Amino acid sequence: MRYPGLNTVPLPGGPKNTTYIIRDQFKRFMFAKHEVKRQALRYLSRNTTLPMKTRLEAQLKLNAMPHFTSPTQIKNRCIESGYGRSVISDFGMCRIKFRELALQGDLPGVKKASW
Amino acid sequence: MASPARLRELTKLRCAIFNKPYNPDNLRIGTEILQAPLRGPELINYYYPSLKAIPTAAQMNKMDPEMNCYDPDEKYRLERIERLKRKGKGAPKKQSAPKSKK
Repeated sequence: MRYPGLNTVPLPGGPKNTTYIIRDQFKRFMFAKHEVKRQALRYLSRNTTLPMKTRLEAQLKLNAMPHFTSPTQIKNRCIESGYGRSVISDFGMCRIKFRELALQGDLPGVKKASW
Repeated sequence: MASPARLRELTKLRCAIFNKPYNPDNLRIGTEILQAPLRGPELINYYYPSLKAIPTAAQMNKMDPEMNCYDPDEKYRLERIERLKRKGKGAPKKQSAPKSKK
């Protein structure tokens, strides 16, 4: 299975729980769950004062961990629509949803520029 | 000016007091990995309930009429109906008794 236990992770809120959002949420939870182990293995492999064998074993174990526990798999997606591109990080929203909500006046302090 | 040996002693003592690793040769001993804060709790909370998940005033009033939330759309609707009625353009009255079928 590509994402074992996908349904065990709490769903993020909002009207649209798109598949991509659920997957990303799963990766986030898996990363948080295995983070301490990953850091310990990373420490063992990066510590140059340790014997080479230990470092190599640690690195191999780190590489053998599932891909969804890696922080590089996590992507900041649009929290409204799940779109993965052009996400404005200050609002966590893609440009399209940001414009929609800003024009509706749902984003406090955001105003359309005019001069 | 203190001697280098004395300065090294001072550094060692400082590291012992502030709970820092003493690493005078700048070896790569993975300190930055151990000292880095955990990122998991922060990353988990990225997706929060959407703004649209918050109920509107109309939905709140429907759930519990005693809450009496201010609903500008509902207010406008009632005012418009009132205006039309004064002009005699209101909705027709419902039939009190059903018409007999032919």
